[in-house]
Amino acid sequence: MPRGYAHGTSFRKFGGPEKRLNLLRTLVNVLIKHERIETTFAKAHEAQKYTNRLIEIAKRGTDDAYSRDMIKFWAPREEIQSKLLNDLVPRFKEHKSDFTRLAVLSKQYCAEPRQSFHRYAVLELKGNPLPPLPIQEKNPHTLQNVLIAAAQEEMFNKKES
Amino acid sequence: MLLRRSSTNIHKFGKIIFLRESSSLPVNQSSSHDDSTNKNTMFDNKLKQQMSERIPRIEKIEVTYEGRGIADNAVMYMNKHLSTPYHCAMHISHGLAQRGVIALVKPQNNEEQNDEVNQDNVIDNKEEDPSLIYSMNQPLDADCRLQFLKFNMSQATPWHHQQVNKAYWRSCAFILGAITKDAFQTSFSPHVYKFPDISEKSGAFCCDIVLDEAVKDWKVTEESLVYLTKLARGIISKQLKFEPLLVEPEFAMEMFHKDNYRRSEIEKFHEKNPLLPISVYRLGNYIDVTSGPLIMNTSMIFHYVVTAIHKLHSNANVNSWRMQGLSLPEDLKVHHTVWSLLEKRARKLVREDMYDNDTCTSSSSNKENLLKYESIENKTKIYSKATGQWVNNKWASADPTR
Repeated sequence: MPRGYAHGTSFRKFGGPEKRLNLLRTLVNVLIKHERIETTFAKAHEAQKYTNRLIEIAKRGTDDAYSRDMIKFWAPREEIQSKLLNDLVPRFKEHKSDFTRLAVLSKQYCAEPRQSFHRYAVLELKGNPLPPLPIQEKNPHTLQNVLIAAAQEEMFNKKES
Repeated sequence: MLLRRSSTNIHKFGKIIFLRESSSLPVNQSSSHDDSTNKNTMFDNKLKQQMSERIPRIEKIEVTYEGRGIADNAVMYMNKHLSTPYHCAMHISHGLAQRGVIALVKPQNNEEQNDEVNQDNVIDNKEEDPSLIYSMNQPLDADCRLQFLKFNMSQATPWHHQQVNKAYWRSCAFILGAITKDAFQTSFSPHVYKFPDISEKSGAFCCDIVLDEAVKDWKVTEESLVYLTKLARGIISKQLKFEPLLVEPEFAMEMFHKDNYRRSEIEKFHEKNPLLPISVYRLGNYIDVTSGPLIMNTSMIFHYVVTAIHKLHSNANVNSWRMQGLSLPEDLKVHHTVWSLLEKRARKLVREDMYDNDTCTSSSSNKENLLKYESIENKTKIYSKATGQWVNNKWASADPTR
């Protein structure tokens, strides 16, 4: 897959800067409208970052010129803008980051027969009203996770004091 | 090779006189092992006596398995006072029998009152259904509903996970107790003082031991920790059972007649709940009282290291030390970077059961932070020549006492 590199992080080119921006903009808009979308893994993975960033900016409010511009560019339609500001911002008020969830689909769950080399994935906003995906959550109560969490807490307290 | 290497270490660092060398083993063995052989014969006799008393003829009980999958709600007819949860698990699947850590037993309504005499631990999970935790090797007494707890459970409450973790931590501390006799020279009269009740959040399991007054200023080196780890791995690789035995307090007092601390603890336990028997466990030759059920077999253990020995100043009369270790089971292996973090943390003294006033070996604690330790596990690993992978089953050859 052709990839661009900027500051040590790789990204998909998606056929050039203009096409890439248009594609991502539609993906982000559709995601905000429907709350759950199904695309190839590459597209979903890219769109996830932009959605997270957009919600982060929208949480600041529209007083800022920068955030106003950004919302205008990434969500040009009014209905999407109103949903973003009136629905999603209060929903994620107490969350710091990670407003979306990405799950890779296995072949059997794909709706249509597709080319085998494309991985498909589901991208969704957290706290959506749709029935939940069958994803196995991490279990924080198993022995190794308890040990790791306790060690992390100790390190964190050490840094603070 | 390993035997020789360990002995050269002892000569090079002359301070480790406390670790028993292989040559001195057979000489002092008879006097020190008198006590343990005595206990072992008592254990065997009691087991035989219980069997003959309880089972004049074999009766059947109805055991219902509660689980997910094909065998859900299967009904088994097992032998009373003879078949264990492990035997039940063998009927269901091989994987369950290998991975089951402890069993959750709910006695059926008819004989609930009779049961309470022969229970290991009564724990009120919820007010409506009291369920008992059984070790996998402990025989079932009456009609019951069975549930097996594993290390990895997708749908389980935190309470279930806590019980599993506690049982694992307890049994790892038990192994520390089992190696104390072999690890030190008999002239220093090592014995286990107690197993402090420590949660897994503190990062290490502990075993308090008492040594002779002569070794008050022992400086623990890295070599001795490696030696202890190898000893422990030697026991683990034998794949021994943790054998339970429920006895009356009088018998337990007789068994531990030399040990004042343990006798007082048994008395306390008996006063608190006079109906319950006392659970004694055996691993190989080592026998001790525990505060709850242990896991089934040592084959579940994957990572195991003895990480530190600290001097305790809390009671000035006796020369007591705290052995600490870290372990993880086969199902919950971790990456080596995570393991090294956990191991580094486990080297610190666990102060969970102490008051803040206790000052323990604080002089060297600053230095310890600066030192960069190599992982003890790496030093004790054995790699297969054929595959280049870690050989877990052939640890017996690493036992330096052989």
